[in-house]
Amino acid sequence: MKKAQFFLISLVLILISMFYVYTYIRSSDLSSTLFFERPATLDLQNMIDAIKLRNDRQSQIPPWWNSSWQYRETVAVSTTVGTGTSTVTLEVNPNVAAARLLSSSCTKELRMTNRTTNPLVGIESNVTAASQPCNLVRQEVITCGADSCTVTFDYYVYYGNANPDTPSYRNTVASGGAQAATIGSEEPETKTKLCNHFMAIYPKMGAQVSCEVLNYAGNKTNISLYYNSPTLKFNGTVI
Amino acid sequence: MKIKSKKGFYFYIELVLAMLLVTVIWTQFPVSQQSYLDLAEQENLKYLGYTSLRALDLTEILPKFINHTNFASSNFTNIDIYMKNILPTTVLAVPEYILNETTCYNASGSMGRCGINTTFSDTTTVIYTFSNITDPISIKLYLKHTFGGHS
Repeated sequence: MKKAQFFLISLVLILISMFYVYTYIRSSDLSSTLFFERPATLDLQNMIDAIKLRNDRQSQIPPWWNSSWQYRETVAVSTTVGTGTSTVTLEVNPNVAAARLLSSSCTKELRMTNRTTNPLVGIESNVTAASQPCNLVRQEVITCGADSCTVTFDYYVYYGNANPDTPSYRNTVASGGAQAATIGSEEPETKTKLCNHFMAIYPKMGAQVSCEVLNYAGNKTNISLYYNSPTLKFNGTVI
Repeated sequence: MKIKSKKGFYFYIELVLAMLLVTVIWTQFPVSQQSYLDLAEQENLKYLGYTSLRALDLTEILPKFINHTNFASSNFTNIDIYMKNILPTTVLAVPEYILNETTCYNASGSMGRCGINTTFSDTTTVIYTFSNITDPISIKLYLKHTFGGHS
């Protein structure tokens, strides 16, 4: 009788435990308890979406010249020349905020590329001062077949690098006086920090996350992503 | 004498099991106990929040109001308006912008520690990462049915 009573009590306890486990879920996030885990599908989907959406957006703009520079802006400057071949000196003020010039050195940090070449390559330029305020100076050769030609040059100016080297071509062009230029909006370099962000945020949701940029294809990033939660596992590349 | 001793053994086993049960219930009792249906409803809210934020991103509303190079200068008022408008009026949503492990911006754009006050309790949350920015931002949306729901 006592043995039967013992097994009966045990059975009741087991049933209570099963019911308890089945219905017990905390409402506050991150604190699912017992055998229930926070559903992970949305987190993984979000990481993949974030990579793909960034790549889609970035593929529509010219690729980045060098990922060590965090920002760039467009600069367009026009000049008018007479017939024949002329060498013109263009000087523009890039209006870079002091906080953005991370090395505080115009000589080292400000770099120019043409916007029309693909891939973008750095082009020679000089600066009028070692630190701000400074202008960028560049020489261009123009061949004009008419009495007068107005030519517009489109550049990218790159900045936002705390430890740049001084390029060899500085101090080769003299200042020619600042000209009016159209400065475009600032663009950020978005390749490098996404993985770090994932690895900082999503493990707090109870998953193991590993993320690494494998290579770049233009502005696109080919990212190796590993995600492991008790309910979902993913190991693959996303581009 | 032997039988008597065995009876005592079962008595103590029962006592221990009873104490164990009380202890487990007492120490592990949830903040709010919910049914399985509540979990399904919370999942629906999560999907609703996630797809809403994704829609705001794909329709270029988030990129328009989030400053790509300086998040603190984003237009938090307009982001809040769009978030409220895209969700049903019966859903209460409060965003928190996660910059990194320790730094967050609240709905009005003030920087501080992460975690919304518990005055907004019994919620579910979903995270959406906005990637087209120098320092990626994760928007953590705290969601709750204003009435009629279980959560």
